[in-house]
Amino acid sequence: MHKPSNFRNWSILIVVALMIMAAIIHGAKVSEGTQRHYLEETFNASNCNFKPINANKWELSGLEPNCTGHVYFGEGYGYNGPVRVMFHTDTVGFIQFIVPVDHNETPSYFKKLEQHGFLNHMISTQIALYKDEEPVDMVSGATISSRAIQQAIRDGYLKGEQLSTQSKQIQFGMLELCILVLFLMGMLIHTKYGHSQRRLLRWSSMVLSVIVLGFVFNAHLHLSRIAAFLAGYFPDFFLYPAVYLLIGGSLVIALLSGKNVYCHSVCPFGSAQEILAKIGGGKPRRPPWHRTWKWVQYGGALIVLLYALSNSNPGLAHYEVFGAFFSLTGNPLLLGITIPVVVISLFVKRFWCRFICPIDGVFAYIRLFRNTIIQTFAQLLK
Amino acid sequence: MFPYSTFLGPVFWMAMGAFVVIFFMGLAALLKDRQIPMNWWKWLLVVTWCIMLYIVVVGGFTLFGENETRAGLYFLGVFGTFMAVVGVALYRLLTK
Repeated sequence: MHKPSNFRNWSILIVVALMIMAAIIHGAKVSEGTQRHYLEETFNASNCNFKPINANKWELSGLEPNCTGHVYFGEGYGYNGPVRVMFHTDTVGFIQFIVPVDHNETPSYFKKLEQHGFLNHMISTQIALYKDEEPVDMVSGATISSRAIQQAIRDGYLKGEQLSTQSKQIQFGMLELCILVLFLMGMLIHTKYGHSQRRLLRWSSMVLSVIVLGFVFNAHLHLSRIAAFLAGYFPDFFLYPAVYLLIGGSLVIALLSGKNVYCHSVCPFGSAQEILAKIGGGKPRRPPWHRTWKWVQYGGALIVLLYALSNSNPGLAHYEVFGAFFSLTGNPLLLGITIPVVVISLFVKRFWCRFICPIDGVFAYIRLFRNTIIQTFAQLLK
Repeated sequence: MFPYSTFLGPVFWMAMGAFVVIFFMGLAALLKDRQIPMNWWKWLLVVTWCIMLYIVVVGGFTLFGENETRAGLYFLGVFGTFMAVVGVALYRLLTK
């Protein structure tokens, strides 16, 4: 017979898991759409004939001048999952137009592409150029989204023409190295070092995290990333190993050791708040209603996650202020929220982490899962 | 019109000058009342902070005046927040 607390824990774990699964199934139904539907929407269906060549390529024929050439469908990997594009080439292979048919990118990043006329720059480019390279420069501040579109074009072209791709090489750079070093430092902090060594390690890791992960790469673990993984949108491991290191490192360490190394010493915004609290003399404040509030914080994160998953749009789960703080990206509301968060963080240590951050909810779920498993095994072995 | 008026323009700037003097006299009195010891470099930091804050406010509202409301809000938001952080750090330095 299990203790009531263990029964309660299992109930929470199972109910949350079922809710997430139901949202994923609903989201998969929502995102169903066919290539023909997109073609008919874009071209005049009554005057154009669409002939499928393979899973990625269609041949156009018809009386209208734009009903010639080919249409390709390809997929790239963006910030929050796949970016699918449809593009039309004329009979000699020059791109006529590009339509992103499906993506989950954060609207502010995608808006940057429009502002820079990114899609227009690719028009009239010879499609054959995409065989070995991505010929148009990325948009600064929306690098991942712009690369995803070019990847999608390349993917559509190579698959449509059944050309072989180059062998892939893992892109391991400064960001990945920095993440590994930060996790290593984070784990060392939890070992039995002396107080002064731990303090030195912690502050070094926090400064490194703020500068490199925050200001240079703007790389964080956020809810939309987790939503993207749950919805089955896995970015290309060879191109984005940093994403796997961040998510894998954080979750595996939390599961195995029960320690939340990510929030404690890797998260750049957490580190920035600690630095702000040091400047303002902020103290960790725990009001009497803090425990009750945690349910609101976790419940809010779960609701947003379910909403994003059920709409098959992980980008909807993006309500963290990290991007706004480090690179001034995000909608005006997020930018507006960032200002009081920064000011309050001067006086309340880790205000965002304690009261709002949805990632805390994710780690709370993992912690609950781990502790419940251990508790159950301990009871079974008695 | 007001900014170019031969009478109201100078009066406005004289009033502004008087307000600045009153502000610093008030600040000196407040610091004395709170028993915060001041020296020349502390005053230099305070005046620098005040000038920077002034530039932020002027910059932001100039952008509003140029019908660049969004840019003005971003300017005030980013540099205003930065000035708030520097202000808190400065106050802690003065009271140390």
